[in-house]
Amino acid sequence: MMAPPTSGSASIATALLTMLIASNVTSAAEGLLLNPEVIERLVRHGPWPPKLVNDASNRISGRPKGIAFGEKLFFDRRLSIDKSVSCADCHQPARGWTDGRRIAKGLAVGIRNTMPVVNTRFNRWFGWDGSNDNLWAQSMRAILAPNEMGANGHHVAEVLAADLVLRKEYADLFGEPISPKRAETILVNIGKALASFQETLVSARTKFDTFRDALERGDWEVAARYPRRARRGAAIFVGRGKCNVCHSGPMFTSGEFHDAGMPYFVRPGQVDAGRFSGITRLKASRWNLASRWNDDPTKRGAWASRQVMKLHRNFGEFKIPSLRNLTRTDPYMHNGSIATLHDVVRHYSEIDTERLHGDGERLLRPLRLSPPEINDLVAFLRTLSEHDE
Amino acid sequence: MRTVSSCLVGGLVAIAGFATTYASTIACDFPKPWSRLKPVTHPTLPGALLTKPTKITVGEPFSINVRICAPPTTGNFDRWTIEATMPAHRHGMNYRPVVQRRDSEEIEATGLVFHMPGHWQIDLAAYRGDEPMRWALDVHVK
Repeated sequence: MMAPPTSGSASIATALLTMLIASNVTSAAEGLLLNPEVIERLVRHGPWPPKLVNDASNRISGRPKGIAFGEKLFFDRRLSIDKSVSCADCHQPARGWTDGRRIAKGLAVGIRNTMPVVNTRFNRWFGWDGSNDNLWAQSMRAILAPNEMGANGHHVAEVLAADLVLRKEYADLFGEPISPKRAETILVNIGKALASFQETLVSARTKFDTFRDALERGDWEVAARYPRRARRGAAIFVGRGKCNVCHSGPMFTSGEFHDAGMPYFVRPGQVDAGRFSGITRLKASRWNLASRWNDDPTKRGAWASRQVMKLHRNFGEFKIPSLRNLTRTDPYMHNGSIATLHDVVRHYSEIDTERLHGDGERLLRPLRLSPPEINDLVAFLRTLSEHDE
Repeated sequence: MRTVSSCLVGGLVAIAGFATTYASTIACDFPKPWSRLKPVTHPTLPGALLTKPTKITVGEPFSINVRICAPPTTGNFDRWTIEATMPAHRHGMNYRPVVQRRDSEEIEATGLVFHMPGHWQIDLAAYRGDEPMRWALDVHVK
């Protein structure tokens, strides 16, 4: 007859079992070419999508009638001064909500690449220079910009007044009729309708998100289905590349601004000051979150515009773009000067730090990736897109 | 007479020392999750800092409460500056915190944002006139 186990032997057995389980986990993770630290960093890029919260600054955010009205306006060329350009002409659905051009062209050619309007609801700052702190003001900006739609509040009011259906929908939604005396109010309300539609544009879950969720719950079998090349690329992204320092979180962007070694000269005699001028415009804007047009009585979002500092290093800084859905938004960078994802990765691999002007900042340095490593990193980036083509 | 005055002086010094020690012991008890500040200038009063929320999320605003152990006779500081930098990258925050006094020994700063993961150093300075007293705290954000 066997003696009953003592407390000492039970402890040893428990410890042995724990070690066996841990080693199985470690070896499973190692089989994925990832160590626990890399896994922990990858898990921080989710979950996707984040919780959807209505915009308190926009009283029609999340309202179906507002969304439908905004969608109609998004595709309506009558909003531009000569009725030739709509929001959708630059933000084309089939093109990842961009236009495929190096530099945006509305009524005239601008100075920057078109940013996609997908996932904008998660932004704190809008545009390459962050000159707006809310989506409805950013939508108004495009209506007013001379090289985009070149319009004004009076024009928008006339367009709505002349269309029986739009006039009625506006009155139902905002509780007041169209009046030429209320041009600014109408312009802001149109901005809010456009914003409420754009908030619905959230990119779908991707191969990476499935992989990331599997890592979080320790489902190594599902995680192993993620392509091996992309796994190697993921390890570079959060490891040696340190790309996650700027391209952080579920959106793969901190939402802030940085100098990525791209020239900010537009043409002889003209520079694009980026965030530096963006902050100036932001603080002077009639429509920022500190203004009376913010429907949130607490104005809780206004702190950022009040407290953001205009620094010397902001000159030539541009928004760190999200890396989601890149496969249809080429060309890349604020000036559209880089054609392919391979070229973007090569840019960072060979970056000339002498061209950076970050006031002594030491962040970017050339990665010196081999061609296979570049391919792996691009393979990873492609898995962040719902269209992994 | 010399003996009496020496005794009086000695007694007063002892009482002052006891009062300071007593006050320091009571006011400088900082339970978790308060973090003790590292003095940068010397001499410096002991202090501690509390972040709200206690776990800082990259890119999200947070506030800090700072409490300094100041004997009652010391008085308030005229002003505070609060900054944070990433020593490895050599850059600071993008937002200027707003500092408010809560009481004679505690201030609150709102609107701090660590926009990158990694090692940040919070630098605090409290001024009486032009003379600063400085502290620092290292924070690692994932």
